[in-house]
Amino acid sequence: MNLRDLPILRHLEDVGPTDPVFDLLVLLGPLVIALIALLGRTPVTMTTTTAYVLGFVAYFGWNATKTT
Amino acid sequence: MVVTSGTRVIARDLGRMLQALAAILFVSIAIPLVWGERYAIPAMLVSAAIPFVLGRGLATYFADAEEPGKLHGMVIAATGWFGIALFGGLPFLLVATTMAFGLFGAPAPTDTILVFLNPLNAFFESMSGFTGTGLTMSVHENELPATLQWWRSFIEWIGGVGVIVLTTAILARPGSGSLTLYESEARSEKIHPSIVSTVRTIWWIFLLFTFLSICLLWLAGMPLWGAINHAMTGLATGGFSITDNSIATYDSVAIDFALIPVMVLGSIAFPVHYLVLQGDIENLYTDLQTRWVFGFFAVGTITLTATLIANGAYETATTALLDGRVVLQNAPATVFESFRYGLFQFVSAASCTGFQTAGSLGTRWSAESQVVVALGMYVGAAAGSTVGGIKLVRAAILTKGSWYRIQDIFYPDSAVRHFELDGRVLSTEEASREFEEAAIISFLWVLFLLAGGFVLMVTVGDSFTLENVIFEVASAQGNVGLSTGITGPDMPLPAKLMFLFNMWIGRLEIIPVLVLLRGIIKGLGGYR
Repeated sequence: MNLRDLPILRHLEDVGPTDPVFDLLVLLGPLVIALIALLGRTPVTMTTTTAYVLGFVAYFGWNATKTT
Repeated sequence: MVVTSGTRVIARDLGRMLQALAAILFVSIAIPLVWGERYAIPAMLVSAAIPFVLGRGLATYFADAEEPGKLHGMVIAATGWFGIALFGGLPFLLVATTMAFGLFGAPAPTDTILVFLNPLNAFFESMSGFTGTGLTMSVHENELPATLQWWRSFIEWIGGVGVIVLTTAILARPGSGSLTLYESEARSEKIHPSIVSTVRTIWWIFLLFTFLSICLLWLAGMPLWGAINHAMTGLATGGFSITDNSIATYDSVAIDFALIPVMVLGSIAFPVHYLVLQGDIENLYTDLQTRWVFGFFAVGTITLTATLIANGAYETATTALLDGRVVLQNAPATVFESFRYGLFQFVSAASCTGFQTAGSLGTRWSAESQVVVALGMYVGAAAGSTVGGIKLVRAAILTKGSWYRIQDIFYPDSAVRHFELDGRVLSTEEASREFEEAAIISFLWVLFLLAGGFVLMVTVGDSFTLENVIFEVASAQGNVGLSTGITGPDMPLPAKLMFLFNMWIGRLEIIPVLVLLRGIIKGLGGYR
């Protein structure tokens, strides 16, 4: 299934820069924060949060390289 | 009483803004529930109910009012921001009252809470929050209930983007009226042809950056509650903190450096963010303002670091980095510490955030260091972002315009010259209009800076120097929030009133407030 087929992403797509990965990051943000609130500072939350931030940075860089 | 058509328009849109305020107050009731501060719930409910009933009444009664024109747009922006700040002070007043009287099982209040029994202090805190200033009446922010810590951060977060932007996003109203209001809130650039789509995209970008900032600060070692609050106030370039000594409380190199990108993100215009997120990264250097943001921050940081080194403000024998794995000694240690504080404080000032890592700007820092920081506060960063000050685009126009005029002398009268700005070739008439607008705003900014400085000099006495006073007023009017220690609950009444005015005009770039005052004195009718 394509990410764009999810109804909530389709709604976000109308608002953001029409990029399903960034839309997904907006949706995942509160979940990551909720996970930190529930579990505290553990290896799981550290890894998840690092992956979230690095995921944004890596995709941002890749997207920029692809476009320019 | 006869209600003019202009008053009907203003009342209807003020009502809409009050409803938006009520909505964010209702949402905030989740915080006392989560933190177990149930005694604060009635206060929050009443704080939400009052603007909701009033706003609903005004919006319904004047529902058929016409679309606002330019004049009404400015008056709505000015009255709206004043009204939002006024009613936004209710949670401070009512939570303090609840605690003072021990209602609903509230714990005993501290002196920090009792300050808000004075309605003017509650109003000041709210105005400082919504305008993204960050000057505070709280002596010990860590003693505030989580409900009020959240409310302070939340109003800065909302105010950073704009109350009208919020209202347009919630109560979508397509048409030219929304555009007029949007422009009256010191915004002009559109992302999409539709203003409703534009403001929704702004909120989308802001949400994404907020989540990223929270994660980044938490990874740098900040506790989650601190990361949430400081990410919101840092990105909104507001500067309220939940700790006693702002960011200095953490005394962490990692946190200091993690906050730099957060504040820089808040300093860049939303349309540029939108294009960059679409992959057009070259906008970071092709856009005039963004280019100037990076250049201004770099030059300011180098200058400030140099003055701090020259004055020995951070002279130290040793400094440890990366949990003690790297230890710098003597000159490298001093240079690093000066750079750390210089970078943070200049970015904090020029982005108009107001976070403080240097605990004693007023006494430990030399006059020239304070002047460099004050210059950052005066200029600010990009128009169309969340910052205050006169904005870099105006500084760029005035700088390039002055050079253009000087060069003009060397050309013959018959020469045809063009003024180039951000890749656009402007005609003489267009260029004159740009110079005029930038010069008027800058002149008014200095005028009210001096007025505020005069009031402060007369009221605070001899305990503070002239540079302290100018610094503090520039901080209030630039919506920055850095303090030399003048602002506090014991400030004289005239100084508080003056600062309320400085913060209000600073956020709206002065003109809308002057239009409102002119309307109050001479009426809202145009010349016939």
